[in-house]
Amino acid sequence: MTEAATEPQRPGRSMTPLVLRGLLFLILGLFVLYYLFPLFVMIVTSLKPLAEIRQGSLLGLPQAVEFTHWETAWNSTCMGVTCVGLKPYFLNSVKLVVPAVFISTLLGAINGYALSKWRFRGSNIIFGLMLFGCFIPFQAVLLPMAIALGRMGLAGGTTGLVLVHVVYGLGFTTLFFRNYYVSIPDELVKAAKIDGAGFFTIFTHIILPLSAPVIVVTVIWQFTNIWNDFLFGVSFSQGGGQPVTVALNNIVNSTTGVKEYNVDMAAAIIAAAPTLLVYVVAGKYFIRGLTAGSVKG
Amino acid sequence: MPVLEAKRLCKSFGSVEVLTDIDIAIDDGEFLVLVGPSGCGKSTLLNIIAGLEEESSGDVLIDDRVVNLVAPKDRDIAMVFQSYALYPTMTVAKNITFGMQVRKVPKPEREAALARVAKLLDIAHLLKRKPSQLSGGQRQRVAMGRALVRKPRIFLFDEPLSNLDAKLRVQMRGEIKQLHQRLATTIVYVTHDQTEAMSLATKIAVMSGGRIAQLGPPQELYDRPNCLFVADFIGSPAMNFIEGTIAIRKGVPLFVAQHETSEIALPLDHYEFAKGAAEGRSVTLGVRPEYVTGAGTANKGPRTIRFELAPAIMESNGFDQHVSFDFCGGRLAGRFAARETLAIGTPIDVHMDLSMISLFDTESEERL
Repeated sequence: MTEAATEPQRPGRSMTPLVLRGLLFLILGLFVLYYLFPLFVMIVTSLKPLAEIRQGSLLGLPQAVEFTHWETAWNSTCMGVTCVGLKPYFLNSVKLVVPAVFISTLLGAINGYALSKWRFRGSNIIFGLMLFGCFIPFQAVLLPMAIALGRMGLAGGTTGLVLVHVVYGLGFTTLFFRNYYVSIPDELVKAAKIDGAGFFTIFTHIILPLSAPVIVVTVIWQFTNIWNDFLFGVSFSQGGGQPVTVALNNIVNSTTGVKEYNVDMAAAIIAAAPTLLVYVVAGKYFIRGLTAGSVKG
Repeated sequence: MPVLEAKRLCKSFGSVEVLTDIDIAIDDGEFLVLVGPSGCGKSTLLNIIAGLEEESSGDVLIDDRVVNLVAPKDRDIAMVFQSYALYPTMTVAKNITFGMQVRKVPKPEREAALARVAKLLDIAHLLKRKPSQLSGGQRQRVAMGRALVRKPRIFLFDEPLSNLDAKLRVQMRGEIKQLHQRLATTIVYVTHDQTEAMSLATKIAVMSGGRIAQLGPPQELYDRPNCLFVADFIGSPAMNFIEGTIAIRKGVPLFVAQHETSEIALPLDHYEFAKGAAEGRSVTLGVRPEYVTGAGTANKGPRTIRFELAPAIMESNGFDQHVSFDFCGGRLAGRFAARETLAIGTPIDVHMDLSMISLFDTESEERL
């Protein structure tokens, strides 16, 4: 009976949180729409025939779904006089991103390990300088980089571009790994030293197996940055060796005659797909890795 | 020939001197405990012995060989860390054999050694687990296993028990002692706990401010501390200190102090002065609580003197009672029989045995 007696007060008291909650979801929903809207337009447009795009509204669902534009974008769309589609450039990007991500992550891990567990005189200065490297804008290094690549005979090739991305990414990867390794107790390294392990044995047997979260973070970070890079790609590569971002720009900008919006949209989605995929697959680990703290045990 | 020797060892970080002129020598099978309050340099000293930190000057010798430039792995030592430092991604078995694997010991030999240690420490059932699946005590055992498996010349322990709860700590302490007696190994052990030091050591080095205050067998440190710091640090409950002066009357040296309105004179004719008794010198007399007893204690000691004092604080632990009195402007703690009836404020007879007292110069704090 006491419960019944207090009942009337309840709605009045719990009304406010409910309203606030509803408001919260409304705002969140609006943001979701805001972010998904461009993607929706891109997908819908890529599936419509050109005629429908010209007459119909931007948001309308396609009356006739056509996948042919995707095929065109992949295999045969033209930039200028070459009509080979996005495929070779996509492969260029893969050939560029995979080694660049691998090398910069590995070197970042070794740097971070050395700077946190094998401190030496001046190691903090070196770390500071590497951090400083993270904040140098792309544009500032273009010219010196071009000269350096030219002198090394690597100008215009994928190898040169890999080198550029490794050098530019090293500051970030070192920062990630160094900060993660600081949270690993020094006593682990001491114990391994007494056990007889050297610099690289400790790295491969003790430190690397503990690094999964930070490796995921670094790989996603580097992959996204290098895959999405346009400036270095357009500056340091030429002709058939260009990455997909540069090719996409050329396709969209150099169409003669009719502008094929559907093909352009399909090409843009293809170019953006790998980074999206990486986030969908590994995003969970990304969040976890960013918040991962000390090692238990 | 000493197994381990430190000669005039110094260590400074920048301008901060953390170790000054450390001289230590221990023989085969000895159990040396480095004890002192935090920040006294004991862990730094252990790290230098291990080769994990570099000395600023002086030498470390193992088996008469200077090892200053020898890497930790080539010093024939093993170390147990406070945090255990077990490799989190490896199983217990891998943790224990990692050192041998790195040193390319053949597999059958590794497995035999692992089996031996697993049996010795009773951890055979844990070998397939990861460190995160072990309790504190089990991790402790595994950490010891990793040290024991290689049969090194010297074992180094860096506060290995301080992460355990009180009961487990006493149990593991017993096991370490037993291991030492059984295997007759040479051990250097760091702790801040004087009880641990007293119960484990064959030799204790009490450290203070980067120096060794006193180095010797536990009983010697307990009975004849060479300075106020050691006297205060060793023993629980702590030694009583009474301020007074030396007087010589009729050729007999006396300790004279003021208790309330009357003068108290304690005869010191039995006391072995290191440099003779100087009249008028300000001294601190130290007497351990177990030499301050009451009527209920049968054996009150050979040189008792009697006071009449009223208890100010009483604590019982079941085995005996710790009773404090206001005495000569300070506190005097005694250990009374458990079943003795005492009341706060009611004067009783207090017997102080002077046969084991210590005298310190109040100014220099050195033993007289």
